[in-house]
Amino acid sequence: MKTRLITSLGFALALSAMLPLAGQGLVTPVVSVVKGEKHFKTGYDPINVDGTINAIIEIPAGTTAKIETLDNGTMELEQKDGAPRFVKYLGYPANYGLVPRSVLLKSKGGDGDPLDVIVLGPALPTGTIVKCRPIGVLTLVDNGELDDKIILAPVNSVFGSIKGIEELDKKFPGVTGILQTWFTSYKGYGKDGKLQLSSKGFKSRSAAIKVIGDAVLDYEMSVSTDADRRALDEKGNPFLYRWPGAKNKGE
Amino acid sequence: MTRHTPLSAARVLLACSFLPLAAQAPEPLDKQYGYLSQPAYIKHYEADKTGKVILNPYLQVASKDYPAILDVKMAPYNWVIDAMGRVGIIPEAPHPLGRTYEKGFFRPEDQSKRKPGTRENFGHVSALGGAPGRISGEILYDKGSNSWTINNKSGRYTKHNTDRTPDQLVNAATLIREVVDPGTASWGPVFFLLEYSDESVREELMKSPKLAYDDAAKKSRPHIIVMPAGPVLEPKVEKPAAKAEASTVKTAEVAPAKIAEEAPKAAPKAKKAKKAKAANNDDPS
Repeated sequence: MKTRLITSLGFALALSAMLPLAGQGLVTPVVSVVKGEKHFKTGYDPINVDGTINAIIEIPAGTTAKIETLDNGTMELEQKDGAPRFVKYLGYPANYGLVPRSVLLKSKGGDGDPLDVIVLGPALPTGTIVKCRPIGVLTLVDNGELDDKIILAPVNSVFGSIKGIEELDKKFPGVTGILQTWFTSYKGYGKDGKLQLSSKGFKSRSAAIKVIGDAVLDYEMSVSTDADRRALDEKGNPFLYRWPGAKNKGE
Repeated sequence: MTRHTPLSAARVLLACSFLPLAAQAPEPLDKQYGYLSQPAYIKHYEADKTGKVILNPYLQVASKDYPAILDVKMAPYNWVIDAMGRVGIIPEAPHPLGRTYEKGFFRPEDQSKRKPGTRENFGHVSALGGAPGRISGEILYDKGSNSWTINNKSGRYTKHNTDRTPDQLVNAATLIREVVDPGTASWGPVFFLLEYSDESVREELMKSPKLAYDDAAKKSRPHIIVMPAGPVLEPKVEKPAAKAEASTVKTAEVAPAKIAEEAPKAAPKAKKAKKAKAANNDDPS
């Protein structure tokens, strides 16, 4: 009886010792680091041979945790002043992520990061690679800097057959309005009393195809060096390249 | 020991009924758009160090379910019919592993001397990742008539194949007009370039009364128009740009999207007939 009492007392003490932890927010409500099979920024192809685009999901629809992809290829819950960062607004209206092997060059007015995308449809887990088609571009200006977002539709989704912004409006009324309202509002008002982000509406699918292609090409150009190119002969002419799947005319 | 029953006999008969399929004529796609053929060559810069042929980042694959869209600012385009009869569409763009040759260069694939300033671009193979393809060519924008012309100019999937015919180009162009949105322009004529056909086909067409040249005096680029221009389309006018900044967007209003781009100007009036060229240049990409 005495032993039992001592054990119970010890257990109660141990529990009470843990109590302060609960109030310290030491338990992170979402996974804080996600590691993919490959490097999230550079390991996956941006384009597929069927013409679809691969998007990588950072922030699932409906959530508020600001998850970002780091240069080491993992995803992490963004930290600000030592604390995890959450959007202080309603959850994201769609999935949010990036196109791998793409860059918005600073020299072209970009932020030096991969191309941001909004992926329509139900929530997809962080780190999902999803095949999409471009629908259009949501134009955004954040503190005077261009911050356009590409709108993508997953191929296997109710949005998969949408071919442009006008069709999106016709078949899914309100979606463009929701996106525009959310993305221009979630950062709140600036010191001047105006919303920090502004938008002049949407650009066409054709514009989205160009923005994606430019960002992917800029990335490939920025990482290609002379060491990646095949050598030329002494006169500066290319050698004939033999490829196993070709007829190799000229041999 | 195996027992011979009516059921097993029926199975054998059923199996035999499939036999004729094995000897059947080429599938319809082979007839419509030509046999699947390996690319004639892959240029030295088109595959990375692992041997992977890099895809053109602007690639669109057009089908009846999901048409491609053309943009005059991105012209010229290449097209290729793939194994499944879809159309791959890619604009001309510099290749990240390519070079610009200030003094020109000698190209080993076709033993040709290229002009100074030639840049190595993505070719037709970058629409299929080097996979086999059917007939292919170019889609060129003709500013004078605000229209897209189509031809069969491809050194990879057209030129070195004996079976590529004007009929296949007509079939391919018909499909392209069906599954590719020409945007703000119309469809122009379709040119079959004799220099990109087999000798046997060429010989016959050289006798055709329809034979024409880009420059009749020099007899350059012999071709035949195999399809006339399509009807002139009314330009698709998207809604003009919304001037309203987001701060004025009322959250309660979920109005249809405002299109930010300027509405395309009306199609330029066709200038006094400067004939559309059958090909962009002589580089058999």
